[in-house]
Parts: sequence; C-alpha cells; structure tokens
Amino acid sequence: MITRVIKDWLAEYKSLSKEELHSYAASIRQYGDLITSLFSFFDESPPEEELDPVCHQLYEFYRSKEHELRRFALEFLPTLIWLYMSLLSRGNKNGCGGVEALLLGAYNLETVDVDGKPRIRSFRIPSFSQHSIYHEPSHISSAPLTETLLSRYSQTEPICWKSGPYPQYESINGSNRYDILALLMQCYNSDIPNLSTRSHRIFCRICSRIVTTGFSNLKKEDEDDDEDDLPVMSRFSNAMDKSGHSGELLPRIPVSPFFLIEMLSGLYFALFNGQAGLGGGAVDDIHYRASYELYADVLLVTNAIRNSLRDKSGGQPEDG
Amino acid sequence: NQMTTPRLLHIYAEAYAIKGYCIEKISPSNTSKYKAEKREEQIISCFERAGDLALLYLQEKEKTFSTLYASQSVGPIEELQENIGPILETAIQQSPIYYIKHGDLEKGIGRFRELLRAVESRFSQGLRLTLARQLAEVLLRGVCEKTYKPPSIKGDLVNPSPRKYTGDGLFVPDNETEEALLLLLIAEVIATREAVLNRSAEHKQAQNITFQNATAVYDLLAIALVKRAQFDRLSESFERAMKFSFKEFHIWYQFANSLICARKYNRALLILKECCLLRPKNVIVPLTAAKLCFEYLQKYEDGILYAEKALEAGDDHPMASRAYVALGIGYSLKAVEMKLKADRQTLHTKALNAFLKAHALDPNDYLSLFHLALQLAILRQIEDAIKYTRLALKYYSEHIHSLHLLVLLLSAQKNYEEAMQLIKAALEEYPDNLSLLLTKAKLEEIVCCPEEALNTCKKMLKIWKDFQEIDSDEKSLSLILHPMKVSEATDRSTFDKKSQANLLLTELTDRETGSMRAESIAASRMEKNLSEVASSGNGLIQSQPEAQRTWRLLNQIWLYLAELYLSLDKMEEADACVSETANLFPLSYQVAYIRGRVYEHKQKYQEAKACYENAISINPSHTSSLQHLGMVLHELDNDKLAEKMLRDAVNMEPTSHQCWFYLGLVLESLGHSEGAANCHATALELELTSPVVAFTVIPRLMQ
Repeated sequence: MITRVIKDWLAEYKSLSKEELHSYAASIRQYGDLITSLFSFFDESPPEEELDPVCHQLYEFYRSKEHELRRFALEFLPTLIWLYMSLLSRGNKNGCGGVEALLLGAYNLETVDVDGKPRIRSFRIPSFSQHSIYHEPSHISSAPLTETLLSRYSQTEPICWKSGPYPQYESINGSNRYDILALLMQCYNSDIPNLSTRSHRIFCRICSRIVTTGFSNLKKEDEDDDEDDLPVMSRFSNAMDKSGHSGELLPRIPVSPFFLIEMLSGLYFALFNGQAGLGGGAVDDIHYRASYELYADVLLVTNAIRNSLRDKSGGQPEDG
Repeated sequence: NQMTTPRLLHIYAEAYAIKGYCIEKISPSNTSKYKAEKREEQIISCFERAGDLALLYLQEKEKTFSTLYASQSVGPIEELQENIGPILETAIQQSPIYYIKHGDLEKGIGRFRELLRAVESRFSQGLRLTLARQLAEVLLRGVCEKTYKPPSIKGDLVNPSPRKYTGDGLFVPDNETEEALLLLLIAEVIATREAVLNRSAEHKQAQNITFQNATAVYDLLAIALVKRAQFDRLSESFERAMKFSFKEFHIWYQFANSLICARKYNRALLILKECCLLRPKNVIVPLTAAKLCFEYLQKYEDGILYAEKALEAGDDHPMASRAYVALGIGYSLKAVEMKLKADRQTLHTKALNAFLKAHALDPNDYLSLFHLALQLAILRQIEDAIKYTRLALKYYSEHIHSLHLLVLLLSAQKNYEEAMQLIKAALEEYPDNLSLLLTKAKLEEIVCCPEEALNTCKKMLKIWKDFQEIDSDEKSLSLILHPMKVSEATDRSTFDKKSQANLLLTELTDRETGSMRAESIAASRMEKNLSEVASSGNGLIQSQPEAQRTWRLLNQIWLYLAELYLSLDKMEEADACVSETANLFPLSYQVAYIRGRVYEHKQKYQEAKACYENAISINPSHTSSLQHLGMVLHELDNDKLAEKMLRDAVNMEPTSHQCWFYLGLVLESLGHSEGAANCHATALELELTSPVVAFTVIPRLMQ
C-alpha cells in the first residue's frame, strides 16, 4: 500500500525549485521512514497504478545530475529487480510495466557516458614477463626452466580487455533481459561501498529469494557428498514461506549464468563488509541453484568462495 | 645513523618489532581517546620501522649471499636459507592489517603496496606470497571501481627504507582489476613453485600448508577471472596447479569447470571422469559429464552411463529429476543412430519412460515437461505433446525451445494461423534467433506468399552480418593495437553471444539431416578437411575455427534461400545462391545436394544424379539426397535402384511422408501394387501429423 510518507515524497520532489534540489539531494538518504516505507511498499507487489508513479520518480532520481539522488535510486535496484522478476515469473506481464520501464531506462542511461558517448570499459591483463611495480620477471624465476615457465614468457605485452559499447534497447525481451539485468547488477556493484548497510542486507536476501523461489528441496544435494563437510549454512527458509495460497509452489524464476555471476560479485563484497551471515547464505543458495542448472562458470565462483570461507588460512569475513 | 651490516639491521628490526608487541600488550592506563590514538600510532610506527628494516636486512643478505656464491665459497647455505623468524614476519604482516582493522582501508592498502614494492630477495618469497594474496583479497573484497585509487610510484624518503622496483616501462596498474590480477599472477608463480611435491608422510604438514596457500590464490583467481569471462587464462592457471593437486577434488573440479567454460570439452570430460572417482557420491559431476557427452561430444553411450551413475543417488535426491531428463535425452539421441527399427522403438520407449519419471519426480520443472512433449511429438502423439508443451510454458513462459516446439506442433495439426501468430510472438522475444526465423520462412512459404519468406531470409542475412561483426570486429581491433600478434580478450556479453552462435549452428546444420548422426558428424569433419585442401588460397575463412563457424551459418542461409528460389521457379537467383555457397564450402555435401536440386528442376536428370551421388558418398545418411536420388532414378526409368534408395531413406527417416510417397510411386511402376498401396497409406497417415519442419530440429539440451 502507498503510505503517507511516500505520497508526501512524491509531492515534495515535484514542488522543489532548482536551488533547493541540491540540499534536498544531500539529505534524502537520511530519511529513514521514507526508505523503510519504500522497501516495504515494493515488497508487497503493489498494484500497477500505485507502482507506476513511484517508479517514475525513482527514474527521475536515477537520471538526475545529483549523485546522491542517483545513489538513492540505486539503493532500491536489487529490490526492483526482484519485484520485476517475480512479477514476470507469475505471468503478470502487464503489472510490471512501470518497473520494466524504469529498469530499461536505467540500463540505457548506463550504456552511455555523461556526454552521451557509448561507454567502453577496458583494462589490461598484466603479463608476467613485463616488469611491474611489484615484480621483475628475472628475479622470481630462479626455478628450473620448464615448459610452463617458458609459456609465461611467450607473452610480452599485456592483453587489452574491453567491454562495451553496449547496445541501446527499445524494449526488454527474452533475448536481452538477462544482459540488461546483469549490467544493472554491475552498476549496483560498482558503487556498492557507498550504499547503505540496509541496502546490502536486502540485496543478500533478494539474491536468495531469486534463486530459491519455487524450489522446496534444493539444498540437500551436496550435504551427502561433501566429505569434508561443514554444517550446511544455508537456510532455505524463503523457499517455503513464499509458496502460494493453495500450498502449491510459486513458479521458479529463470536465471542466467551472467546474471548470477554479477550477483555473486556483489555478494562477495557484502560478505566481507558486514553481511557475513546473510551473504554466506545467499552464496550457498546460488551454489545449489547453479548445481541444479549445471552452470559451470557460476560453479567456479561459488566453489571458490565457499572453499575460501572453509579454509581458515585466508582472510575471514570478520577481518573486514 | 648508519646501520649497514645485515646483522645489525636484523637486531634493530627485531627490537622495533618487540617494542611494538610490548606496547600492544600493555593495556591503556586510562580511557582517554587521545591517548588511545597516540598508542596505536606508536604501535603502527614500530611495526612499520620493523618491516622496513627487515626487508632491507633481507636485501642486504641477498647481496652477501650473491657475493659468497660468486666467490665460490658457498659454505653455510643452510644457515643463510633460514627465514627471518616469526617475530618479524608477524610484525610485517601486522602493520597493514592494523590500519584496515581500524577502518582505514586506504592507508592499509598503501602499506601493503610499500611492502610489496620492495625488491624481493630469495628469502622473502613466502612473505611476498602472503602479502600479495592479502592485498589481492582486500582489493577484491573491499574496493570497487568508484573507490579505487591507483598506486603512486613516487616513493617516500623515510630512512632507511628498502630498495624498490624502479625503472622505465614499469607496469603500473590503474584500476582494481589490473592490480588484483597482477598480484595474483605473482602469487601464483610463487605458490606453484613453493608447492611441496614430496608426498611422503614427513612432508605432510609442509605440503598441507603450501597447498592451502596455493588454493587460496587459485580461489581468488577464479573469482577475479570468471567475472571478466577470461576462461582460457583460468584453465591455463589451473593446469599449472595440477602438478601439486594429486587427488585434491576441489582443484580438479575447478579445472574441469574452467575447461568447460573455455570450450575444451574433450579434456573437460577426462577431468570430470577423474572427479567422479575422487567423489563417487557426487551427483553434479556425472550429470555435467553427461551434458557434455550429449551436447558437444556426441558420445551418447557414455552419456547414458554417466546419467545412470547420477541416478545411483536415489529417487529422493533433488537432482534425480534432472538425472532422468539426462537419461531420456541419451536414449532419445541414441535411438536416432540405430539402424534397426526394433532397436529404435525400444530406445524411444525407454526415453519416454525416463521423461515421465522425471516429470513425476518434479512436476514443476519445465525441462522435463519440454522433453516429454518433444518425445511425444517425435512419436507423433500430437495432442498429448501439445498438452505438455503448454504446461512447460506455464512454468517458463519464455522457454524458446518450448515455444518453437509448440509452433511445430500447431503446424502439424495444420493450424497454420495460430502457428504463425505464435512464431511472431516468439520472435518478439527472440528477434535474432535464426532457427526460429528459418521455421518462420518455411511457414510463410506454405501459408501465405513466398515473398514473405524471402523477406524473412533477408532479415536472416542481416542478423548473420551482425554475428560476423562480433568476430571480425575484435580481430581487426586487436590487429590494429598489436600488429605483431592477435591478442584478444572478450567481455562477458561477447562470450555469451559466441556461445549462442555456436548453439545456433548445431541447430541449423542438423536441420537438413534431421539429427546428429555419427555419419553426419564424420561427414562434416571430412568436409572441413577437404575444403581446407581445396581452398588453400581462401585461407582467411578456413584457418580460424571461429570464422569457420560464422561462415557455416551463412552457408545454411544461402542453401535455404536457393531452395526457396527453386520453389518459386526463379532459376537465375537459385543458381546465384548455389554459387555463393559453393564459394564458401566447395566440397560440402549440402552444396552437392542443392546443385542436384537445381539440375533436377531443370530436368537434367543425369547431372542431378551425379550430384546426389556425390552428396551421399560424403554423407551416407543424408536422407534428402537419398530421397531425391530415388526420384531422379525413377525419372530415368531405373526403378529397381530407385526402390533401393528410397527404402534406405525410409529406413533412415521413418517419419518422412515424402519418402514413403515416392517409394509408393516407384513400387507402383514396378508393379507391386500391394506394397505401393501400403506405402501411400503410410504417407497419408504421416502427412496428417507432419510439421512444417521436422521436430528433430529442436535441440535436446539440458536447458
């Protein structure tokens, strides 16, 4: 339900003058009441006519030049993605028009820079044989000459990796949906240290919900084959309490490997920055889902994260 | 003060370290915040001094060692080899962590960098490994694009400090990924080298420690590289890890997964086999192996065995349903390879039962429903198939293969109107899917005017061009950047597009033959070799497998277009299309076949016959060629041989109503009226349930 606070928020922003905007932006992320009611508003799968104006305003925030306004909208991104995916999986294509428009708009904004040029990100993949500020190839290689060692030298220059430009889309369809959602997840991740702990917490919960909805018994699967097993941390609680009225399970939410990997990189941050419990649970949930879907690339990441948590020699979540 | 001798440096360093520990041990006398801060500063500065002096000491020691070594008086190496001791080691590691624990991430990172920038000596390797790993951890876990600050090379001049790496052309990272990858690269080299290979009991502990250190590095590498879709690199790294990972399931499994992602399926399967032995109870490993066998390697027998192995976990295992799906896929794929009708039928029934079981175990799973429906469709139980397809779409409304199947099923019911609507809706969701577009063109050819189909073909050619640009873009770009060699690194979305193009290709090439028969696979391999020999001048197309793939896609489109022009009676255009494909793959059986079609259309039966015979000699299981050869022989009044060809075709493709029909014609002219009547009856019956394109164009995938 749309609460008083949200209504006021909708009205207030429209009445702001240009001068007031900056100070408004600076303080907006402190409005605890507003943030709470927005989170619970999205959680209740609101009807279209209530959802649309809220989404519209959040989009205004997202594209605003005020960083804090954009960040305010970014805080809700995981929640919105969850809302969108769960509405879709229940066949409610019309009910999610507002959210879809918001997500698509945000995506299209993210594909270009401030000056409207297509955004391309790139970095170099360092090569062992080039001197760096941390090493000199001749020093390390006091080892006997082997084939693997030689192969390290075969490459003299760092490889360039580049990503983008991403296409602009006019609508979301089956073939571009997960690319769009994954890129949005990337945007959330790229600003994640500046977002609130509350948003992190909700992000972890949502990751669990996306991958477990509609399943009742995924977790069992490697309890019995992990020989060096730890008590399984996962709490598959959400799978149960989200079942429909008739006791039947809700439809499962389709996922894609790319999307799951982006979720994992956000979770990896959350895991080591205050959300050890929820983050760990979500990683486990994604691990079970990836096992079920046989996604080799996602399993590479979940295996690595789970193994490093198990292995006490590495840094631990408490280390910060 | 000059502290030059290594011994003195060592003593001073330890003194500072111990001072730091002492201050740490004394609990603060009062709660004054100022005092507490002061105390922390003191501790940190002690540890930092200790660290700098210790590193300097190690560098000096290295110098002494080298001189000793040079003057051939290598005496007490043992003594020199020893480490700097736990006191200093902890002190060095403490200082950056101290900052981070107190919330000052930036200073912590700065301290890590200072320590790592000191020129290493042979005595500091273990320490560097830990530091590099820790800094990589910090960068991956706590820093993002927006908060990262690149290191500055301007050194501070605190005396005495250890020598640092300097010089021209140093690689200086300028974002978090570069720095993390650089650190992991160094850590990997050290870790792989330090790994203790002696597996005897006395080395057990040392071996455990180095193994854990190395594993930690490899885990971080996996996290960093998968995010950037650098699977080739990752699999190379894991390959290096194999030498110290005897019987270590985690590393083996990771290696297998990285090979799958790098599309090295054959090797991946071998590694998975080993993983199965290490963890016999694991269900995911054999299922992954089965998936590889079915989808990439065409080893159906092995796949079935792996699926059965996965089923050993029992029916109440959460993966049991998917394991039955895999088993069913195996049976169904194997059925196509069978030469005898009875064998085929047994396998089809087995497949159907497996899918039914899968559905019963997990009624909400779209995948088992889809495969059940596809199996029923192949058995021509159209009504039931439609029911299950609709159910599959209820659980996953955008599953492309279910949508495609439903279109075909509707066309089998001759409900063309609805089929057309549905395929248009499906194309709204997947506008770039060539397989769907081909089906649409076929539908258009039948339902409305063939001109529409031509339009669809145009669209396909355009989409193909985009595909091709993905490939060539990258190459031309990297050629400009590094003219000496082709180095490319793709991001995730390009990676996904390529995988998709790969899948599409298998879908499209199997259209003609209708299945992934062993013969077709052998044929396409042979063809590849033949074309390489034939068109050595045309090296660009043939040399790179990636390019091969895209050109084959184009080939498929031309072939279809040629057929379309034939049916429109436009000979010139058809000829043009044929010469296009002949340019691409001069020795392909498909080109031979389409040439035959053109000759047949021009009623030049002798030439057509020769073409079809060529096609069959390359690929004996190409049913369309067999069928048309039969027809041509019939025209040439060689009914005996025609009968033989058509019988082969019918045996190969028992649901093709055209084959049955022509067989009927041939038998009739041979005077076997009873047999002819039977054939015509079968043809009629099959025609009633026949889709516009064979159901087998829909791939049997685990997704």
